[in-house]
Amino acid sequence: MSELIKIIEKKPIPSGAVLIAGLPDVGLVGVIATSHIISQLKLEEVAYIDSTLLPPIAVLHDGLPHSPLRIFGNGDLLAVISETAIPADVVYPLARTLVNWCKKKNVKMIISLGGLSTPNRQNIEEPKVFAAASSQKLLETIKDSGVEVLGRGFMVGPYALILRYAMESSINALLLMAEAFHNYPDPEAAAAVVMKLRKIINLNIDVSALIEQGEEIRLRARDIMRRTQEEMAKMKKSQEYDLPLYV
Amino acid sequence: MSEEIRRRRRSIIELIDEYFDAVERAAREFIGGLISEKPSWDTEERCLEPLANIFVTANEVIITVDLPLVKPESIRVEPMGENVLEISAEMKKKLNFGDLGLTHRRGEFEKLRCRTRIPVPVEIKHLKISFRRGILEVKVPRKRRIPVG
Repeated sequence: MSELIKIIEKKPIPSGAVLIAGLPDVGLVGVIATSHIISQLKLEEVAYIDSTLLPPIAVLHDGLPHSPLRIFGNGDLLAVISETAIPADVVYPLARTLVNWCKKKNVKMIISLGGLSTPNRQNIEEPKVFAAASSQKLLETIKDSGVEVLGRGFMVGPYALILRYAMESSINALLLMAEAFHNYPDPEAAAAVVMKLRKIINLNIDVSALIEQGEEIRLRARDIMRRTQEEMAKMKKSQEYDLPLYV
Repeated sequence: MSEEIRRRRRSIIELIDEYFDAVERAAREFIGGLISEKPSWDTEERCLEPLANIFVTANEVIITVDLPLVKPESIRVEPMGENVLEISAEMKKKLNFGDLGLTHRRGEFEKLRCRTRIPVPVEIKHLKISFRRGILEVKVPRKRRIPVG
């Protein structure tokens, strides 16, 4: 299954790096946050993802074609980002391929950035950030960063699988989710998540641009949000609202 | 023997599940083929289509629309018939394709506009509107149902 998706390296990948994942999901929090990190730190493209399971898309930048799914990086940081919605039936092989690649590259930790669907988000001034992790030890280490642990519930989508597969492969993995609009781009939630990330991996990033340019980001992100909405519906993303039953 | 029967029953259930999955996929592809994809922008009308969602509850229908970069005083919610609402707003500043990241198209936009069809009967003249954090919320009461018996 994982051979249907390939990660093609363009530059040497540093061993022991931290990988940040920004995939289209609730509020496009991950994509907005990761795009901001890539831009602020001027990360370079080091690899891209290719697959016949994905729609035939080339993203043009300065007239040159690129895969919509790319990995950027510098010496100790990698960031995977998608500029198009991930089809629901590609989520399984993509998550598996990404985690296997991280294992091969000796990635120190995978940190997925996402949104927690919050129906009353309009009433929230400062979105809270919650976390889930691949080990109890990792949850203990992030206690001082002001992140609340997501004790119980359902997670649906690529981040859910990345966390599960990372745990199976004994790779440290963390999921940071800010309270966010389910179906609208949420740059404020992205800023909240980046502010917590800064404390966890000691990152020097200014988030003021996310707030100042928030309205423009929301306008530009309409189309990818629309397509992400369709894929989230196919995955039955609404199960994240369900109350869990524990026997 | 009973073990064989149990295995056969599970197979039938699996077959039924696969059948319904295939019907759902085919229906989605069929409907997708009927709906022509149109862009979220209209250069003739100089407008962009905002994101919108609709929720139907027992008593009301709630429509939310994401309206970034608009002048709040210019927001208009107009009923068009019994079950369609047109929502529009002027943008704080005009934007062209270049401002939105595209250099191979020409056009300028000055408003956001969308139409939403409401799927249940409502009292469209009694709608309530609020605008907070750039999200417009329109609440429309459902028409009272006549009790039977």
